[in-house]
Amino acid sequence: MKNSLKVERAKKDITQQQLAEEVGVSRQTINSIEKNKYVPSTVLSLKIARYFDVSVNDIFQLTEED
Amino acid sequence: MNDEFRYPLIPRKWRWLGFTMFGMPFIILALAIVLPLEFPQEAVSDLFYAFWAIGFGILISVREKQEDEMVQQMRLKAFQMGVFFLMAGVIATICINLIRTGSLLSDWFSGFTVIWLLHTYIYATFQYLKWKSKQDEE
Repeated sequence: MKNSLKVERAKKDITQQQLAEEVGVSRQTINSIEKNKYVPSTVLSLKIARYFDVSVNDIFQLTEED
Repeated sequence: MNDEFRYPLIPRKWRWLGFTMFGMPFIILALAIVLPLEFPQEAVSDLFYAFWAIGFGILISVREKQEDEMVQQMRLKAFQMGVFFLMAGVIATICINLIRTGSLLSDWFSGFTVIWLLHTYIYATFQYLKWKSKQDEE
């Protein structure tokens, strides 16, 4: 799975720490998601999407391997 | 994760207690020599295994600074790996012992040893996963 979290974050000009605080996780978790090292739960994906006011599909996309 | 099935975790302020447990066998042995107390030879290894098992047990149960879903997933992975390493180790020990002596278990293998090994594997895997997550940042 790939994601455009970093792009969305850049558009809104917020840091990983700020996003982490908004969605209630650690900055490390946000970093791991951005680097595709960790796949977030449905709840966290929805929280992130809600924060950026987009749909989950706009941020997270399946890849060929999935 | 389902909130109805959350495992209990110890507050971070109790970390010192976990580390203290590693030194306890040495203190008890020193007291046994100084006082002096009767201390059976075969109980020495169990004393170490028991206190170290408690020490690692406390350390793996201490809450992280932020206990979020990624940390919870790491805990689950660490526990699963701990069980896997323990089973592999027990099977290897049984096989080696069976070939060498013809009996299933060696005399150093006790309940305390098994718990200590399990907690050690879980702690080591959990620390490794946290370290790896930090390395990915750099």
